[in-house]
Amino acid sequence: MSLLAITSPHMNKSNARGVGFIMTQVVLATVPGILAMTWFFGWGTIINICFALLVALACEALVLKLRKRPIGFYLKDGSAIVTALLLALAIPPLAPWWLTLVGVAFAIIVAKHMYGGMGYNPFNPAMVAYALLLVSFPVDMTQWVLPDTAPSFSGTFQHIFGLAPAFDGMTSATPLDAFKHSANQTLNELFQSTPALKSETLHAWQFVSMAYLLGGIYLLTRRIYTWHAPVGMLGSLSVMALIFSLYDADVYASVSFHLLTGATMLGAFFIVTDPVTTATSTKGRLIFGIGVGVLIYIIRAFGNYPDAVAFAVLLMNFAAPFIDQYSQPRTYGHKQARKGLPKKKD
Amino acid sequence: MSQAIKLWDIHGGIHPEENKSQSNQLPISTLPLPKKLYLPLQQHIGSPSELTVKIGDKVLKGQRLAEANGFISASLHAPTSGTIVSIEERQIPHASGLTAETIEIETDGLEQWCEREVITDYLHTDPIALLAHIRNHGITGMGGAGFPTAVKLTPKDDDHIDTLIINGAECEPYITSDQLLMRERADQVIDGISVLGQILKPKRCIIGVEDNKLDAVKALRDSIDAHPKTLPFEVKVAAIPTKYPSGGEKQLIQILTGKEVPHGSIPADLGIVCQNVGTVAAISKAVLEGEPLISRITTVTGDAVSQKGNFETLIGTPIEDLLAHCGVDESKLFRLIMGGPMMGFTLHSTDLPVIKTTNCILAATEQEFPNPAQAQDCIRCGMCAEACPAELLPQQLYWFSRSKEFDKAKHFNLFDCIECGACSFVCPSHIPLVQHFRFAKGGIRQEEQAHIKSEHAKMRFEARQDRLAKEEAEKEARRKARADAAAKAKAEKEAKAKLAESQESPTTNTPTADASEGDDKKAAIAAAIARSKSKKPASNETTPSSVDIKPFKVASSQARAAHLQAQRALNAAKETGELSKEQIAEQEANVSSLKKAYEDAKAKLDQAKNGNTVAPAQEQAPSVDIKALKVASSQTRAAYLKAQRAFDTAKEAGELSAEQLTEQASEVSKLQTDYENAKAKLDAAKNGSPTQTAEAASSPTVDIKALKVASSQARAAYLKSQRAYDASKEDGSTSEDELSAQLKKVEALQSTYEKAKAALDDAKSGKTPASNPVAKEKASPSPSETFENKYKQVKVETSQARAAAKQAQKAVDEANEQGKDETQIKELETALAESVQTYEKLNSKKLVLQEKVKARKAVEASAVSQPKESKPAPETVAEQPPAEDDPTKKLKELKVAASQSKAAWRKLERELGKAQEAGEDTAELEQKVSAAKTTYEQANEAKTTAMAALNS
Repeated sequence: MSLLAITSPHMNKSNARGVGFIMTQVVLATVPGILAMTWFFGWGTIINICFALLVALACEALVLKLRKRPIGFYLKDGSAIVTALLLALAIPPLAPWWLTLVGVAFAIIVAKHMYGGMGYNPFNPAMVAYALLLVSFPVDMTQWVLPDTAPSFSGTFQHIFGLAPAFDGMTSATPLDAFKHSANQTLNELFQSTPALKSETLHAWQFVSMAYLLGGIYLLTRRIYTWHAPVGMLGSLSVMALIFSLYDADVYASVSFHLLTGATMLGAFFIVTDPVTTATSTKGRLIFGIGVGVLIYIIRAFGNYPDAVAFAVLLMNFAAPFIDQYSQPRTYGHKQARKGLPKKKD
Repeated sequence: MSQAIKLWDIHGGIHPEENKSQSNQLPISTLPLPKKLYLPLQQHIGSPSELTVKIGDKVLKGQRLAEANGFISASLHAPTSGTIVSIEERQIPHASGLTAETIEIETDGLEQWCEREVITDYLHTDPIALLAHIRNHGITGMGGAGFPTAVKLTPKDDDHIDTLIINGAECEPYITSDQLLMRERADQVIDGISVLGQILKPKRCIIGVEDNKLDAVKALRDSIDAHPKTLPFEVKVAAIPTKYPSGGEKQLIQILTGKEVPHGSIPADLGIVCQNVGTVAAISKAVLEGEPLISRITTVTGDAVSQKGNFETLIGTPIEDLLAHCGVDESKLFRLIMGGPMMGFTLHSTDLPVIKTTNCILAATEQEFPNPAQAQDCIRCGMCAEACPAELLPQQLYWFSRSKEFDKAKHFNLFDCIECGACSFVCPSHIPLVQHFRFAKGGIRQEEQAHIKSEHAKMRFEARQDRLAKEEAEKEARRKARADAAAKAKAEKEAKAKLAESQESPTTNTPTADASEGDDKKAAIAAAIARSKSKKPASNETTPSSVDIKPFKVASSQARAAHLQAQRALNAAKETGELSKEQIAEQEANVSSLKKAYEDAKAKLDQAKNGNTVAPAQEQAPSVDIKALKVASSQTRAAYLKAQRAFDTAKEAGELSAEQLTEQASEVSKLQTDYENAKAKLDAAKNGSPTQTAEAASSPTVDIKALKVASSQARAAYLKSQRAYDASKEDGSTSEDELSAQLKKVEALQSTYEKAKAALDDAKSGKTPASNPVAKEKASPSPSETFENKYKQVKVETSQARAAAKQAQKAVDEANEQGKDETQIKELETALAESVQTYEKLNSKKLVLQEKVKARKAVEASAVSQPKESKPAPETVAEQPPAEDDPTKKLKELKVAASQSKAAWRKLERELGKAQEAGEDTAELEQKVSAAKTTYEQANEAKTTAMAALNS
C-alpha cells in the first residue's frame, strides 16, 4: 500500500471547471452573436469562423511542436479557438480568405506565442491581429456587406476564396465608418442620405450588439468573469457620449449609437474581459474598462479610425501592469491597501 | 434566547461538497482499548513536554507522563493504565513527517484511574487556580494547531476580554466530530463556557455554528436554557451561513463581530478570545471530572472504510487500529489524510498515533481523491482572488513566488495568507497555489535569517576594523613615545659622556658626585653601591698601612664609575628596546672593555698594596684578589637584589603592563647572572687559593641565596600560571583540552617550585649540597637560556591564546547560526575581542622576546668564547640544562601541534556535517577532513613518543 503524499488542499473544484470549461463557455456565449451576424450579413461569418479555427489550430499545433510542448494538452485548453473565433467575428463577413489567414496566423504565432504563450502574452492576440489588418488592409477591413443583401452560401464561399469576381455594389462602410467620413453634414442629413446609416442597417447592428450583450450576460451569470471590466467600459463610453452629445447633438452621435454599433458590445463582453491581458484585481479591471471606454470614444470621435476597440484595448493592455500596482485590494486585517511596488532597501 | 444575531460576511469563500452525511448519522461510539498506545511528547505548538516517567514504570489512567516545559508547552497524561515499554524517537503525524520522542504504553486493560482533582465549585475559584488546573491537565486547542489553551486564556494585562467566541463552525468538508460533540454533549460545551466565563469574565459569548448543523444549534440552545445560573453573561448561538473557511479564527471573528484582527495582532487585542468547542468540552471535563486530555472524538470517513462515524478515541491510539475497527479496505486506500480535505495533511503510513489535534482521519479512495491534474498556465482569471478570504491576489502572489520575487510577494501581503486552500480549490488551471505560497514563505524566512546573519557579520567586521584602527593608533603612539624616550636617553648619555670626559682630569673620586647628576633612581643605586663599598672594603682594608696607594685607588674608582655608567646606559638602551643588535653588542663590548680597564686599575691598586706590604706579598696576593672579587660579587648582588625587590613590588602593585614586567624580569635575571658570574669568579679565585676555609664557609650561604632566588622565581611562575589557569577556567572560552594542558603546566611549575624550596630547605639546614647542582640547573640557566625559556613559554601561551581566540570566534559564529539571542552573541563577541587582545599582546611579547633572544645569543657567542677557559665552573652548569631542556621543549611544541591539528580536523568535520546537511557537494571537504585527521594522528603519535621518551 503506497499512500499519496501531497499538500493540502486535497479537493479541487476545477476538475469540473478547468480552463477548457471556461473557454467552452465563452464559445457558447458567442452563439447568439454568430446567429445574428449570419442572419443579417450572410454565411460569410460562419465560413470565416470555420476557416479561422482551422488556421488557428494548425498554427497552435505548429508552434507547440516547435516549442516542444505537449500539443494535445495545450490544444485542449481552447484558448486558440477563442482567439480565432473573436478575430473572425471582428473582421468583415466577406473579407477575403488571406485576410483571415494572415490575421489568425499573426495572432497565434506572434501575438500569443512569441509574446510568451498562454497566460504570458501582454496584448490581446485577437486585437493585435485586428490592428495589424486594419492598418495594413484598410479597404478590405472596412467593406461590410449591407444587411439582407448577402449572397448565397456558395456565392459567399466563392467570394471569400476568390473563386468568383467581386460584387462591388453590395458592400459598404459600417455605420461608424460612414459617420466618421461625413463631417460636413448634420446628423439628420447623414442618416437619411447614407446607406450605411439607414434605419435597416442600424437595426441590424443593434440586433447583433444585443446578441453579444446576451452572451455577455450569460457569462456573467456563469461567473466566468466579473462585471467590472464590461461595466467600466460601457459606463465610461456612455458618459463620454452623453457629455459630447449634450454639448452638440448635431456633431456628436448619441449614447445608443455608440453602444449599439460597431464592436462595442463584442469588445465589452469578449475582449476587455480577456483575463490574461487585463488588470488583475476587480478594482483594476474596473479601471481598465473605464480606460478602454474613454479611449474608444476619443478615437471614434477625434481619431482617424472608424472603430477603436482594438486600439483602445491595446493601449490599456500597456497600462495593465501599472494599474495592477495601484489597485491591490485591502487585505484582511490591514488598514489600507498597499500601493506601488516594494521599496528597494538600498 | 434565540433572537437574531447580526452577522457579517467574509470576503470570498467557497462551497465545496460537504460530504458530512457519511459520518454524522451514527452516534459517537467508543473504540475498543488498543494494546499499545504511542504518545509523542510534541503534540502541540511550543516546546516538547518534559518526561516525568521512565521505561518500565507502571502508570495509571490520567497519570502525568510529561509536564509542560516552558510557558508555551503542554503536559501529557496516560490515556489508560499500563506499563511504559519504550521511550524513543518515532515518526509523528506531521505535515513534514517529523519525528519526536514518543512514549509507548502497553495497556493492561484495567483502566485504573489515578487520583483525580475535581473543581466543582469553579464559580468561586480563583481564575489563576483554574488556569493552572487547565494547564496541568494538558489541554490544547483541539481544532487545528494545538496551541496550549492556558496560554491563550492568559491575555496580556491591558487586554480586557469582552467577547468569548466558541468555534463550532466546522467548515471543513467530511469532518463531523464537533457536530457530534455539540449534538450529544452540549452540556459539556456549556459547562466549559461557564468555566471560561469565570476565567475571562467576558460580557458575552457567541457560539458560531454553520447552518448545516442545525441539530447542534438546537442542542446548544437547549443546554443554555437549562443552565441559567452558571452563565452570568449573555450566551448566544449563531447559525452562520455555510461557507468555507468560516471556521478560521479570523474569519469567524469577522462573521460574528464584524471586526478584523489587525495584521500582526491577536484577537485578544480586540478583546476577543476564540476557543474551539472541543477544547471547551475538554476544559469542562478537566475541571468537573478531573479528567485530563486523554481522549478525543475523531471522525473516520472516506470511501476506503466501510463503517464511517465518530469515535471516542484515546490519544495515542494507532491509526491502523482505528481504521481496522472501521473496516478499512487497504487495497482501495489511496490517500490517507489527517484533518479535513482542505487543510489536512497526508500521512505516509497507518502506524502513526492519534494525537490531541486529530479531528478526522480521511481514508480516501482514488476515485474520491484522484491524483491532481497537471497544472496549466495561469490565465489570471482572478477566481482565486474572488475566493480568497484574506482578500489577497493569489494570482500575483503565485507569479512572484514562482519567479522568487520574494520582496514583491511580501509586499502583496503573502504572510496574511492563512493557507485555507480556497484559491487552489477554484483554480481552473489546477495550480497548487498554496504549495507555492508555502514555498515562498519558507524562502522569505530563510532570506530574513540570512539577512540578520549578514548584518551581524557586517557589524562584527566594522567593529573589528575600528578596533584594529584604534590599536594601530595606540601602537603608533607607543612607538612615538619610545622614540622620544630613546632620543632623550641618547641626549642624556651624550651629556654624561661629556661629563665623564671632563671628570677624567680632576681627582674627585666619589661616585656620588657622578650620581647626583642622574635621576633619583640612579642616585639610589649609586648610593647603595657607595654604601656597600664604603662598608665592606673599609673593614677589609683596615690592615694595610699608610703607603701611598691613593692614586691607584682614585684611578680604580674612576674606571669603575665609567664602567658602571656604561653598563647603566646599556641597560637603559636595552629597556627601551630601540637599539639594534649590533649597537647593543657594540655597547656591551664597550662595557666589557671599561670593566677590564677597571680591573686593570684595581690590579694596579692591589699591586701597589702588595708592594707596600712586602713580606706577605706572595701569600697575600690571592687573598687580596679574593677580597676584590668579594667586593665585586657583593656589589652585583646588592644591585641584583634591589632590582629583584623593585620587580616584586611592581608585580604586586600590578600597575605595570605585562610587557614592562617581562622587561624588568629580564633585567633582574641579567643582574642575577652578573652576580653569579662574579660569585663564580670569586669561587674560582678561592679555589685557586690555599685557604679552603673561606670557601667552605661562604659557599653554602651563597648557595642558599641562589636557591632562595630560584625558589621565589619558581613560586612566582607557579602562582602566575595558576592565576592564568583560573582566569581561563572562569572565562569558559577555552576548551577542555587547553584547560587540562594549562593545568598540567601549572602542576609542573608547582613541582618545580616545591623542588626548589626543598633544595633551599636542605641547604638551609646545612645538609650536603649534593642537590644544589640540580636546583642550580633549573634556577640559574645561562642568560640566553632564561630568555629562551621565557620566549618558549610565551610562544606556547601565544599559541594557546590564539587557539582560545579561534574557539571564541567559532562560538560566536555558531551562536549566530543558531540564531541565539543578541545578548548572548554580544557576550560571546566581547569574549572573542578579549581573547584576540590577549593573543595579540602575547604575540607582540613573543616577538620582542624573540628579538632579545637573538640579540643575547649574538652577544654571548662573542662574549663567552673568550672567558670560557677561565670560568670552568659556570660552564658545566650552563651545558647541562639544554640537554635536559630540549625534549621538554620539543614535547611542548608537539603538544601544541597536536592540539592545533586536532582543532583543525574537528573544524573541518563540523563544516562537512553542515555541508552534508545543506546537501552540498562534500567530496572535497571529505578529502580535507581525512587529510586533517591523518595530520592530527601523526602529530599525536609524535607527541606520545616524545612523552614516552621523556618519561623513560
